[in-house]
Amino acid sequence: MKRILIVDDEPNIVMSLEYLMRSKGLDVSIARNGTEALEALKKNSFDLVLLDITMPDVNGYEICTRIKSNEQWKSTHVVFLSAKSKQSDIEKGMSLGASDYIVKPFSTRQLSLRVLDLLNENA
Amino acid sequence: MHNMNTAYLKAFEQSIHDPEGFWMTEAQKLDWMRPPTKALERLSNGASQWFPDGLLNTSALCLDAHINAGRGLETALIYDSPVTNMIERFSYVDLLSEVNALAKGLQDMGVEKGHTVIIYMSMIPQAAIAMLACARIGAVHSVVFGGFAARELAIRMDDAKPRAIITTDAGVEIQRVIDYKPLVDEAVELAHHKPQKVIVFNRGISSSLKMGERDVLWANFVKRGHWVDPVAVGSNDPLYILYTSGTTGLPKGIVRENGGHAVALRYSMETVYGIKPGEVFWAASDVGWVVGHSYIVYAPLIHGATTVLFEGKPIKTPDAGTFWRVIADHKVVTMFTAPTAIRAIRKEDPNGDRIKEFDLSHFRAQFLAGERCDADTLEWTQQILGVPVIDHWWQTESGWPMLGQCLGYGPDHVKPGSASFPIPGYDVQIINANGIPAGPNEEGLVCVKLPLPPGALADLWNNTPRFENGYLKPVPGYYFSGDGGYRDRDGYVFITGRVDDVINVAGHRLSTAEMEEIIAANPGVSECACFGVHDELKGQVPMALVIMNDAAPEFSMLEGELKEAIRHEIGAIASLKSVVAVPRLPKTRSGKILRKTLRAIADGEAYNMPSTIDDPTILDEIAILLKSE
Repeated sequence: MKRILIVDDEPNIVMSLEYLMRSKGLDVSIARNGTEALEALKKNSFDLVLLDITMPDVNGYEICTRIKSNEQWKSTHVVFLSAKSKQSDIEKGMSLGASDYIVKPFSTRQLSLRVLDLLNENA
Repeated sequence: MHNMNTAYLKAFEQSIHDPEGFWMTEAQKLDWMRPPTKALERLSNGASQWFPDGLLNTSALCLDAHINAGRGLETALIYDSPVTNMIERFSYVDLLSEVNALAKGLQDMGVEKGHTVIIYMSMIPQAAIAMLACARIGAVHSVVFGGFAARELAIRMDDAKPRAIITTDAGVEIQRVIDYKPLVDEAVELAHHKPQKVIVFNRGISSSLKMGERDVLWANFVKRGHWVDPVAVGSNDPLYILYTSGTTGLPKGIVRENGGHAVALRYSMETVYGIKPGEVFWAASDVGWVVGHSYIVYAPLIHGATTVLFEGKPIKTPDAGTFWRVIADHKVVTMFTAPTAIRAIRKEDPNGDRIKEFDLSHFRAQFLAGERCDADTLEWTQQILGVPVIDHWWQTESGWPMLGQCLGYGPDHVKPGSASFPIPGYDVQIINANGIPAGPNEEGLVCVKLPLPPGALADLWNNTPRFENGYLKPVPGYYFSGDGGYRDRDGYVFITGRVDDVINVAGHRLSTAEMEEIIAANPGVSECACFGVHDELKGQVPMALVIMNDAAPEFSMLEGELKEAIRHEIGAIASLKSVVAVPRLPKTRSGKILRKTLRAIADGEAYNMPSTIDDPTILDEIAILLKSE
C-alpha cells in the first residue's frame, strides 16, 4: 500500500484530504505542523507528501528542501498545497524540487488524479 | 614592546606550530558530504592540498545547510541598488530555488563537473546566483569584472575555455547605462575559443539588446520545477578561477579550491570580522574582484550571515551619504571597503556631516583593504565613525586576509599606516636582500612561510610553471607576495607597495606590462614605459612615457589615441592619467627600462642612481620633462 503524509495546520483541509486519500486506498498519516511532519518523516518512509507552505513553525519550503537534500527521503514526491498563488511562488516551490504545486482552493478530483499519477510513476 | 591580544596570539601560535590540528578543528564546523580524515598533503613543489579526502559542495554549505537548520526564510542576501532605486531581499529558500533553476538549465545544456563558465555581469543578484549555480553542479566559474573591455574578456575566454558565458544586457554606472552584451559579442568574435551559449539576463535597461544565434535569454534558459542535487566535489577540486594582473601582459588565473576555501572563509567571518550568523555584513566591492567572491558571496553565506550586494558608488549614487544610509537601512554591523572610497566621500563631505543623519548605533567596525591606507585617511575614518577602523591586507592569491586584526579575538591597538599582524594561518615574514628574515624596521619582501593555509592559492589555471616561478621560487620555502614592507618592534607590519610592475589604481590591480603592449602597438610609438604615479584619490594612476617615431601624428592626437586604446582594450578602470613624449628612456646596461626610478622621479621622491644604469644623463632629461607636466 502506498504511504502518504498530509501536512497542513487547517483541520478542515486535513479532514477532507484524509477521507479523500483513504478512499483511494492509500495509507494516510497526518502532521499538523512542520515539526510533526519532520518527526513523521524520520519514523516512516512515504511515497508522497502533501505539503502546506505557510505553517506556524517550520515552513513548507524548508521541509521540501530537507526532503530533497536527504538521501533516504529524496525519492518522496512533494506536492505543495498553498493559497500562495503568484507565479513566482509556484516557481519557487517547483525549483525546490516539488513534483507539483496545487493552489488552494483546489478541486478534490484534480488533486486525487494528480496524486495517483505521481504514485503510479514510481510503480 | 607592545603586548598583543592573548587570545589572538594563542590562536596564531597554534595555527603555525600545529597547522593540521588547528585547521582540522575548523574543518569540523562545516557540513561535509564526506568529512576529511587527513588535514594536509604537501605537493613536491611546496603547494598545500588541504583536506585531500574530503567531499563537499560549496552551494550546499551556502544554502541547504541553513535551510536544513531551520533558517530557510531568514534573509541571505539584500540587493540594494541606488542606481535603479531597487531594494530586494532573498531568503535562503529564495536563493536556492533560483540557483536550482539556473543549475538545471546548465546541466541540460551539458555543463558538468569540471567544465568552466564565464560570468560577466553587473552588480545584480543574478551574478551571485550564477556563481552558486555553477558551484552546485561542480562547474568552475570565472567571473570577469564588468568594467573590463572586450579584449580582456576574450583573453580570459581563451584561457578558461568556457562552455557558456552568463551575462546581462547592461550595467549602470552612476547615471549612465553601459551595454554589456555588445562587449561580449566583440569578445566572442576576438576569442579563438567560442562558448556554446551566451546566457543573457535581460534587466531591460539596454535600449539596443541584440540576440544572436548562440544567445539565449536567462528567462528562457532556466528550468524551473526541478530539484538539483548538489554535486559532491573533492576538497581540492576548483570552485573558481579568478584572473588577476601579473607582471607580464597575460593575466594569471588564480585557482580556488572548494574545501579549504570554505573552511578558511567561515573561520575568517567569525574571527577576523567578528560576525555571528544572522548578522548583516557588507563588503562594498564588486563580484568581479576577490573581495566580492569571498565577502559578498561565499563567506557570509557559508557563515549564515546576511550579505549586502550594493550596486552603487560611494558618491553620486545619489550622494556622499549613501554608505551610511545602507549601513543604517540594513543594520549592517561591519563593513569592508577600499580607502579610495573613503577618500572620495571625504572630498565631498570633509567633516563627515552626512553620518549624523543616520542611526549607526549598531555599527561595530569598518574594515579597509585593496590598497595601502594612508594614515590620514585611516584617522579621518576613525574620527567620523567612532568605531574601530581596521586596515587589513590580502590578495587575490590568498582569497582571505593575511594581515589584519581579529575582532573575534578582541581588537588591539591600531597603528595608522600598518595592516597590523599576521592572521592565524599566515606565517608572514619579511625577507631581506640576503634571503633571510629581516630585523625590526628593515624593509624587505613580504613573504609567507610555507605551508600556506586553506583557501590560499595552490596553482594557476593551466600554468603550474608560472605559479611555481612567480610565487614559490623567488624565495625558497616561502610564498612570495610581490609586495615590499617591514615589521616594527611591536610586531606591526607595514606594506610599502609592489616590488614589481603591477600598479594599484583605486584598489584594482593592473599590469603596466599589458599597458605597454597596447601603447607599443600604436604605429606612432617606437618605445614606451608605463608605471604608476601617486594620486591623491586613487592611490596610484598609470602614466606613460613614449618615444614617438616618424609615423606619429601630432602629440595631442597621439595622446588621445593612446588613452582611447587603453580604455578600449583594458577598460575604463585603467585610464591613463598622462602621456609624456620623451626622446630616450633610462635603461640598465642589459636594456631593462628603469621603471622604479621613473616612478620616483614622477612622484618627486629621492632615488638612488641605479648602479646598472647605461646613461645617467637621461634621468635629468626626464625629470625636466616631467616637471613641466
